[in-house]
Amino acid sequence: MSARRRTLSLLDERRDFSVHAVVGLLVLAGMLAGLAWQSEGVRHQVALTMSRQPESFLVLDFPGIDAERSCAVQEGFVAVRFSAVAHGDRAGSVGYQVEVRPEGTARNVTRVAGTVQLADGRPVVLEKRLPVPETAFDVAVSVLDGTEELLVHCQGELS
Amino acid sequence: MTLLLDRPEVARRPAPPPVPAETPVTRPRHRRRRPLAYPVALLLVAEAFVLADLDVPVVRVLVGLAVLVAVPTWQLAAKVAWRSDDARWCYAFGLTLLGVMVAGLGLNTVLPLVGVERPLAPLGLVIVSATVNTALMLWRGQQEAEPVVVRWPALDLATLLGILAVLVAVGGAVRLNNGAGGGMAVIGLVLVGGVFAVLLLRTAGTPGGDARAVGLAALALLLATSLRGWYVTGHDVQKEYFVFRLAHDALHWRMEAFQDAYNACLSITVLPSVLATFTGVDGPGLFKVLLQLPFVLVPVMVYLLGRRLAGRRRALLGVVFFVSFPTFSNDMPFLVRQEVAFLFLTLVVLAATERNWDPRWRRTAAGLGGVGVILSHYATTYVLLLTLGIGLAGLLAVRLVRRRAVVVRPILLSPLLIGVLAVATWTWVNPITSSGGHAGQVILQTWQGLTGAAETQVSTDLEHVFSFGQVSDQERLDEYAADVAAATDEGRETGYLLPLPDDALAPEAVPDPVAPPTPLGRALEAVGVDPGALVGDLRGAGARMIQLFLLVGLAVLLLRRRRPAGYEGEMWFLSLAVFGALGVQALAPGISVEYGILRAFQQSLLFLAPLVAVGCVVAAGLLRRAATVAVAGSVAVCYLALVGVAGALLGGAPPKLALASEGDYHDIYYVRPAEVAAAAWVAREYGQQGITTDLASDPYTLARLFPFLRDVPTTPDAFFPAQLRHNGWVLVGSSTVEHGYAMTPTEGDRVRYEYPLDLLGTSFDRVYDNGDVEVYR
Repeated sequence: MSARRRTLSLLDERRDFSVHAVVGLLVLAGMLAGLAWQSEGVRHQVALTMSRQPESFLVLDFPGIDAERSCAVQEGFVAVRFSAVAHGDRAGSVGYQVEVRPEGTARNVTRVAGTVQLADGRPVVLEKRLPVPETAFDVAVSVLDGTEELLVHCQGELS
Repeated sequence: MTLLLDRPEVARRPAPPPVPAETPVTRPRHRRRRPLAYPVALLLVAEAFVLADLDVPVVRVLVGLAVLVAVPTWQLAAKVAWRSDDARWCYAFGLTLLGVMVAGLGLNTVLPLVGVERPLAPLGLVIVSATVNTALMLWRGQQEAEPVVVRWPALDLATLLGILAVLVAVGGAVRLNNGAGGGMAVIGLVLVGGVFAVLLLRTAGTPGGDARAVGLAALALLLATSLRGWYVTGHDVQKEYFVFRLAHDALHWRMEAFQDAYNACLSITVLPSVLATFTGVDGPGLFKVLLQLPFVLVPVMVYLLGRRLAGRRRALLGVVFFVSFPTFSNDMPFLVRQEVAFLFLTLVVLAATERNWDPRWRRTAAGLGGVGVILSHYATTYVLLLTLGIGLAGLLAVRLVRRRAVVVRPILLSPLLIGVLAVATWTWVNPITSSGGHAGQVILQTWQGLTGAAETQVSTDLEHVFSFGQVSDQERLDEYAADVAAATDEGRETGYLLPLPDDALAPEAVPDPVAPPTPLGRALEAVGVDPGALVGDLRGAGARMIQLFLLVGLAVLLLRRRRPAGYEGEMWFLSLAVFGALGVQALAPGISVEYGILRAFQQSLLFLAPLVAVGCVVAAGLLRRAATVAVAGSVAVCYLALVGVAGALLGGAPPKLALASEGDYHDIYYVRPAEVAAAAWVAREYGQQGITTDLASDPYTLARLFPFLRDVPTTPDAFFPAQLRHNGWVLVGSSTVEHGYAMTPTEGDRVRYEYPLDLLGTSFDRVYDNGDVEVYR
């Protein structure tokens, strides 16, 4: 039989791949898969292909009216209260910092940094007190290894 | 391995001649009947399983589908004397689907009259299902008009490739949803191409074998797109899911709940509600998987129709063009109401071309299919009526001009059928659902556009399809920004809106996103070939190829004496009418925007796909010796370019949602978990603080997050820079945060523009940030 004929025969609808051959192939594939399953990389790829994986992100927010409270100056200090919640791979120890920046200048910025242990999906409310200038200022809350940042513009003692 | 249901060869034999009256009739010996009690008892157990709402994964879905769809389809296929060579399963399935919608509508209408507030509750549905299924099983007892024989399918290469394509396409979509690359998804689409290659290279094939492979290939293409995203993803389908939830949550479909044309489509209200009750699947999976399955039959029926009209090879070629057309895989999975309507529409044409049927029965069957179209989707109905109207006008005109009877026995072009469908349409959209107002507006706008009484939009899809003078995005954006600036000047003067510098009032347009070149694309770049331009050229060539082949096919129809035998009589008029209707939709201002020329073209391919194949074969025939190579090459290029494989392999081109986690549709329709989290936070804040100010965001983000912001007042008209208010909440969606651009609808299209995030940062407080979404106030 010529190569062309063999190819066409393979394409033929009447060409029935026997159940035995298919079962044999499946058994072989199963054995290979079993071997490959020993590799963590393979298991990860299979999980990626067959099931939903949790998405990783970290949320910073001012719950309730805490953004306004962050501007409320008492005895030269503001109490900045914010919430953080991590999902997926972002859970764990997260470094953050809270800054008070006088408006219009990069000098005299006060900041406090810290770390917080975030469990997957569980919000944690944090509060930090920082001294403020007498002028208008901004309050910024950010994480140290990410782009997330909260920002509140305050009018200073007037607010 | 799946069961194959097929009729035995003996059933294909022609009916024996009638027996003369005087001949003594000898009754055939009846076979020993198997007792019906067991199957009926099994059926009732299955119905009770559904009624008990037992949540057994996979089993519940299979049992639900069995009692709702499989049993009635099987019984109808076996016990009705269809006398159809190839399509009885399609007819039986279509009749079952229509029955589900009509029975659901009946319960929904009658039960409230006797005080039942939730007429689509499981009890009523299961009683009807059990009654109908039992009646069908008892009807004619065990005597099947066309017996069904169960046998194992032949595992031929095309079927194996098809099964593999489905598995790989599903895996590819899941990987993309999990943030992995698109390699597996690309392989899935290549395997689909392999299925068609095997089918086309075969010298012969049975309708059943070909249809099985075509169905699997179509399923792979649809799931590759529909399964993208963990939430309801895509245009239209988000609103479709919303109207489904209205009906299903109340277990009562009411137009008063949402007076909109979408809510008048039983295909996305009553049908999915009944399906959800039986299968227990009422989340996004219902629209992403279960409701995609009926549409798989459409390419199969396009193949069967093409086989009747133009022969096997041309039918297969036609299907390749049908599924390659970008709307099939890009958009149809997001248009469930139209998928169901297309199923009925194809059944209409299939029934009309059933040669073994009496003309009266063909018209009746076509009418039933037409009712399915009317109940499923308003716009498909209007296009169907437009097409039939043009065809009838053409038929009458030819009869008038020639002054002698044209030998055509109209089935679809029967004035009676068209009249009945028109009256049924009017009855459904006016007195019953009061949803025809929008169609009236479009007709009025079109008329005003044609007469010059008003300025009417034309879809930019037309520019892309026919490649005529395109207006640049920047020109479109400048015009839009000037209009918005003029309309908001007073607001800025009074201090209600933010004062803005001139450059913020007129933002810069941003080009559509393109994928970075792949290693293969970089290799091409190294030899001076721009991969993006090459992919664009290939896509353009693929689109133009289909148009060219269609024109050649029409020329054959008009000029050539030896046209394919299937295109005689009514089919000749209908083909031209479909083309005419396409022209009307393309050229009439207003309609092209409302319906979309690409969707119109896809709908016309239901009927014209075999003709495109005829054109392809004729065009290739002109090349004589190189014909086979030319056909194979052009079809392969057409497929690979139009479904996006070429772009994914080379890069530099706009990515497709089925193959990458970037690009136009991804920006607009893909809902990320981080966005859902942000929407939930906003909804909570609004609820707790009693906020009444509208939440501003771009219209696409608001549409995407609509299901999660249902209790939050929103506005898309306070997000464009010139519309920003001093006070208010602004939600910035993921594509804006990630890429720095936003999108706005302009006349007939959408435009990307640089969004002034810095301006938001200096003018508002950023009170929420999760890396994907920012909320300002």
